[in-house]
Amino acid sequence: MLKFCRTFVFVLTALSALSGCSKKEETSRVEPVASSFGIWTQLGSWPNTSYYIMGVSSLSEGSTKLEGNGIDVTTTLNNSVISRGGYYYYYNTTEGRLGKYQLKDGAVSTVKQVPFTYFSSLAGHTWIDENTLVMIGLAASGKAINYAIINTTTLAITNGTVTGLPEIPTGYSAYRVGGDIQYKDGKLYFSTIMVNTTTYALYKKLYTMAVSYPAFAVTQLSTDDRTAGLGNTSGYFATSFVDEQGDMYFLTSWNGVLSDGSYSAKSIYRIKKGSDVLDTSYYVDGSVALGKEPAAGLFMNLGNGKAIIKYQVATGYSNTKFGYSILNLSTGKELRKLTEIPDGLGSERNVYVDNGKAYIAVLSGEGTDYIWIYDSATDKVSKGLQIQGGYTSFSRLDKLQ
Amino acid sequence: MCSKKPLFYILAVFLSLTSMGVMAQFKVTGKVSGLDGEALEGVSVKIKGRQTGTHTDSKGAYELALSKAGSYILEFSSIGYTRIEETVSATSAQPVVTLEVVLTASSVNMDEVTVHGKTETQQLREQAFAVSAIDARKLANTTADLGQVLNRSTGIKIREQGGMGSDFEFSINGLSGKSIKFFLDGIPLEIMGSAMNLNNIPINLAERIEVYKGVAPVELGSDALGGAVNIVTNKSLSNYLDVSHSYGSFQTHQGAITGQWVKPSLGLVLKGSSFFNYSLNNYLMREVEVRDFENNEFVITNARRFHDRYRSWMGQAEIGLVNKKWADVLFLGFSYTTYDKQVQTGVRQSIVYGAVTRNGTGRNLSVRYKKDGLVNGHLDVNLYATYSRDEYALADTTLRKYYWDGQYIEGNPETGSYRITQVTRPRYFTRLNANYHLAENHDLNVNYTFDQVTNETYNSLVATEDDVPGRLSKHLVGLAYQQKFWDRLTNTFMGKFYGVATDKKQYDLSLARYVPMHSFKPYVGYGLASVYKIDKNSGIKASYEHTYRLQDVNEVFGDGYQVINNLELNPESSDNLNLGGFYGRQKGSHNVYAEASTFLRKAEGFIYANQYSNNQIKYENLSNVLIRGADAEVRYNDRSGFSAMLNVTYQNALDNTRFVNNSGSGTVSATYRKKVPNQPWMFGNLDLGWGRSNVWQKASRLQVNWSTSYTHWYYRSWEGFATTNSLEIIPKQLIHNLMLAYSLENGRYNLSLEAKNLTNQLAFDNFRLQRPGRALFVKFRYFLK
Repeated sequence: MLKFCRTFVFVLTALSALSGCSKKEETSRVEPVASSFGIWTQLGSWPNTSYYIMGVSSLSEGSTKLEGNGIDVTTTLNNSVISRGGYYYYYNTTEGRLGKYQLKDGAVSTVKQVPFTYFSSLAGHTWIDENTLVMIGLAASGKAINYAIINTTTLAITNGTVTGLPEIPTGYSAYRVGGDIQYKDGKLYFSTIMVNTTTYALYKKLYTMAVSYPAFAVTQLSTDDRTAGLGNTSGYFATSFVDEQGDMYFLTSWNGVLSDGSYSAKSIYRIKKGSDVLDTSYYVDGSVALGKEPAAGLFMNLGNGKAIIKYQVATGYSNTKFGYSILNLSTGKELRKLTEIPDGLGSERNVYVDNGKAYIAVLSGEGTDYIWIYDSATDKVSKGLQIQGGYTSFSRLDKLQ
Repeated sequence: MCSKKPLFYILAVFLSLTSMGVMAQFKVTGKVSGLDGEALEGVSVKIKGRQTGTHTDSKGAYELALSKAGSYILEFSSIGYTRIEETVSATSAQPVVTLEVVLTASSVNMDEVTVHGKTETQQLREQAFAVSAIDARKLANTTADLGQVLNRSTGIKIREQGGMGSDFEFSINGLSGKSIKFFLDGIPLEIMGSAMNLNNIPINLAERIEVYKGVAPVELGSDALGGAVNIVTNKSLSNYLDVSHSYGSFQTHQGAITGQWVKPSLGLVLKGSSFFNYSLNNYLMREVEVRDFENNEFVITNARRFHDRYRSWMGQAEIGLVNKKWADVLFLGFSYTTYDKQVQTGVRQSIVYGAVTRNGTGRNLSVRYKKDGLVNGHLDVNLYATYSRDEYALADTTLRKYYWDGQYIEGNPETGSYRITQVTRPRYFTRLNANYHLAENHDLNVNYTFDQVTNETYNSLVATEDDVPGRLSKHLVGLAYQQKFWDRLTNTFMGKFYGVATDKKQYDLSLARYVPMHSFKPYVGYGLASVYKIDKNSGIKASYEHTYRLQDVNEVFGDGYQVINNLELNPESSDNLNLGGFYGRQKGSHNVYAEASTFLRKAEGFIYANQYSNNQIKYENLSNVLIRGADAEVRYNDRSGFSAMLNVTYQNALDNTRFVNNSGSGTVSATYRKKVPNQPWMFGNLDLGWGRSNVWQKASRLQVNWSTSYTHWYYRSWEGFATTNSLEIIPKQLIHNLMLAYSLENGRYNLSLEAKNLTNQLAFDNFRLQRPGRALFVKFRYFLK
């Protein structure tokens, strides 16, 4: 009996010893280095998916891998963050908070967090100046569009509801608001459409609004019947911009089913500098221009009169591969497809544009991956940073400092 | 000449009949009664080792012919009674033997701590299957629910999201979720409604719990990929009443009553059981965020949970006849379950809810029939049929964001969707099991299960019914052949057929109307379980099964809007292997039992939702897992009343998804063969007990139990990728419980005190959701037999 008890005590002691020598000693010990760029990398199969920001010093050269180098953001951020000046701004809808964060010492550091619940989700954002962020989103009911003006230094918030919206037609019950919001000529421009929340059918009409700032009253409305989709310039995606001439472009790539069962077109629209309404002389059906269906969520200005647009290799929802094309902005014609770049797997904001160059993080699913660089000045594609493969997606590419 | 032939034949037949008549002169007759003297009808009387047998009539009388003079061992058995053997000798001088037999009801003494001889649970552990068997009768005075009891077994981990009634994940050897099926007396537990969960059924309702790891017998006809838990209730045929109530921390009440009344002369049995649970679950949450309204920022503080009240009630009644010539058992039963709960958090504790509720009811009507000894004693049949209806509703009807101090600001629906989701699940379930005794030591078992459930889900704020309900029908046929050699080697060969039919309407855009969709897919599983007994107390065993978790209706057909269909979806499948051994030894007053096993699970095609770039999702076979592990348990008890149990489980679950998104080609996934995160991989339990009878008073017993649970730390995300400063781990946990129980009048009156999480450790679960700190309970139990 005594012997038996001794054995128990021994095993218990062994168990305690095991528990004592645990924790982080066994983990990798790579010291964090301040990085210039962050590649948002997803890892693993669902439900064991983890999200990391892989820090790199250059997108143009060298090689990198995630091992020991990824800032784990699985429980702190997601790739809907808004990035500017080395900070991330993140509206966490499930926790009802807006936060300002910084990557520091290999971890996410909280600068400030405030309670925030004004939208059911962030639909779009734009910057008024370096210190003023405007965000829009649907009210919880779906029957109004709310806004928030945020002082990004103090996170002081002014919020309210956009007035003068077009009425919701009979048979439809809620608004959808596009993230294709831009600040131009002292006003905000964005679009809305209407949806039947029971059948999810969209009303086939695009309403594009000029909205006063900071009063948020609709001052001008223009419509178009050729699409019922919206763009999305939330944190996740980028489908609108104001170019060097001061003209606004946006892509309605986020499209649903119409009441007759068809899908509406994915179109590019323009609002000229000094104008409050859609440019009726400008309409680009993305699928016609590219010969491919535009992908949801990526249409960026390159400068030099060009824009980069992501397209689906195969038409329809079951498509899993994506390519890139260059458009002549003023004509809406395709200049060429970037055939040098292998088709990549799905991702969201995997392109970073700087100084006329597009840096494209492509997860080819085959062997080693690269940041591919398209130079709009020379129309040349080159291989940049080499990335060890095997990850699930590259969802963002951000300049960190 | 010809005319003489018939005469010859007649004579021959006469002589042979006569000789048979002479042989039939040897017989044994008598009467079987219970302890109270009442005659027992339908008792099986068999010659041991042969198929010759009969049953007692309504007066308890029997008559069994013997082939010749000699000694015979007779077996008397009946449902609810202890089987006995008696030796009789028939001679030419005394060809007719009279034998009166008295059967005693199967033991229902729930307090008896068996020290000697093999208990039913130990016999189960020595089966070929990898089984954890827990004798619930020994735990009748604790305030633990079945989940907490099972959590102390090898290979089992339950991760609860909170206190009483919270959602939980149950894993056996690393496989969890839909991979594990739960049964009550061999019938799926979910038939009784969504109120019946492992973590709210009081221990007093169970007699025994069996956990089949990886390989499940055909009788549990189900697509249990990772294993099955079978709760076995009291099957004795005696009168008893067990009433208990406990009260403790967080205003927790648990009441249970179970009883039975038997009229042996009529073979009439009335059974009933009920439980009631209530708890505010308002335990302290440590270091959580609340809003500082003045400065509009978050501050860290401790706060009590404020929206976590849970109530549930279950009532079950059965009336039946036993030990009739035409039926050993025929019962008609009805059950009703109901619950309502407040939901306090989302998947992380930083997602605080203050108004979300869930409630539901389940109703069930059932009939069960059993008859042994058909076809000259070769065939035993068992039939169960039921209709049940389970309904529940999840309500999220406020536009608020709550904080841990109970304050809120106006905002959005808490779960992201303003709704009252109504779910209704009518269900038909039938199980037919037949065991055919081929010859001595050779048995054939056939099991057929038909399980059909219709799933209607709609938001009652905008709809009155589900336009596109889904129907899932499973046909499961199991065939097992068991052979025994030399009383040492037992082999069970199993084959299982899985037929899954899914039906759902889908909207056809081209036709502009709903069209019915149907799919039927067959699959075949197989397995083997063997045990070799080295001697009376030790043995080695191995079991293997290729098994499935069948696809669900919504996984195949989606919802027609956001979830698109996938007719190519395959079931989750797994190859499960167990190797183990056991050793028991009794020396003097000491009794030791040890068992150890290793296991392998190669599971493929786990079904998860995959999001497409147009925001629609589709269920696909996305990931594979390879789990290797070992567990061991040692038990000791002696006559002084001391008992001890120690077990340790180690499981190494690796991501076995070679290519990203299980695409079948391309780059090898960076996490391939890496340890799966957010899963405990080493844990153990220690139980120490000491009891003494006749303390302060005759027929009393004092029992003290100490239990410790240990869970080693584990990674929240994948190992080896994150920077040191961002790597998250779930810390180790060491939780102690103490129970003191005192019984009077041989266990009729019982009073127990229990302290859970005695040292008030910070206990976590999935995603670091905090669990209750120290909690105290007192329980009174009255047991009449």
